Amino acid sequence: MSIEARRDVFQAIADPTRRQIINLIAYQSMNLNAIAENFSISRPAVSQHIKILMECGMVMVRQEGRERYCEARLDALKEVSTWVDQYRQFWNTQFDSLDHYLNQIQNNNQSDQ
Amino acid sequence: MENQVTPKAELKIVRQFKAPQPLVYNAFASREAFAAWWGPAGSTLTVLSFDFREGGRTHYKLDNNGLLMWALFRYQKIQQPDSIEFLSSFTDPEGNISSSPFPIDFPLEVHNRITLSETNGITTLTLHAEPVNATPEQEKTFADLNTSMNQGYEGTWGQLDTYLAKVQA
Repeated sequence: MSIEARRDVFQAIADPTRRQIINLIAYQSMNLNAIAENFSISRPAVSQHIKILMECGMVMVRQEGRERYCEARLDALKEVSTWVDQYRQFWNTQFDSLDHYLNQIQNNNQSDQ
Repeated sequence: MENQVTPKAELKIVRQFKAPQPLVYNAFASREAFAAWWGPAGSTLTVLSFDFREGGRTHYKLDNNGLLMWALFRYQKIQQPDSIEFLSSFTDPEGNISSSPFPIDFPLEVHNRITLSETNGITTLTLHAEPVNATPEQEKTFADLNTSMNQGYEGTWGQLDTYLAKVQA
């Protein structure tokens, strides 16, 4: 199998905690402690999620003095709608074809009788 | 939370078909029916394998004016004639999951759930689709497991492909 471990935007938002983190820092950057305060899971667990978000290109960490601030990179989210749009278009085409097929076989069945 | 900026990468499509529910269900469940409609117009579909049951796989090839694509369905949960859940992915010719042939970033695997219901001869089909929630670690474990499990019948897949290519040539 050639499944490669990938870090991408889909990976980033697949997890509900990570979605909440992005929402939290979407309009203001926050340091790790401030982010962790919003969650019941442990600080290392939050830190792990942020690490994944960084690897997915969704979060950037900026050092300011002794503090590290997490910033959301919302541009990366555009990729999601691209995928969803493509997939929607794909299925709509399939359903047009299904519609055509269903009409056809029902007409054939009627003319057989 | 107030400022929801994170779209969940999911998709819902509702369509109505002027056909009884068993007929719509059968369009997915029967190899003959599936082969008659699946695949965008203008492309040639070749169903390489078809095994519609929980745990079964359907592997097919699409030829769109010489642009070849292979894809795989892995059926997870089937409730005849009401719902079908399956994972879909692009593959290489041998059926190994591969990244998308499109220039955009596409999830490796998508979970699809199709539900059907009929009222007065009109069947409503609802499709829910979302990328599979797998961490790279899970994917690796899965890949490792599959490699050892597949080694036995990889050869058979290859032979089937060769056979199919021959009889259709």
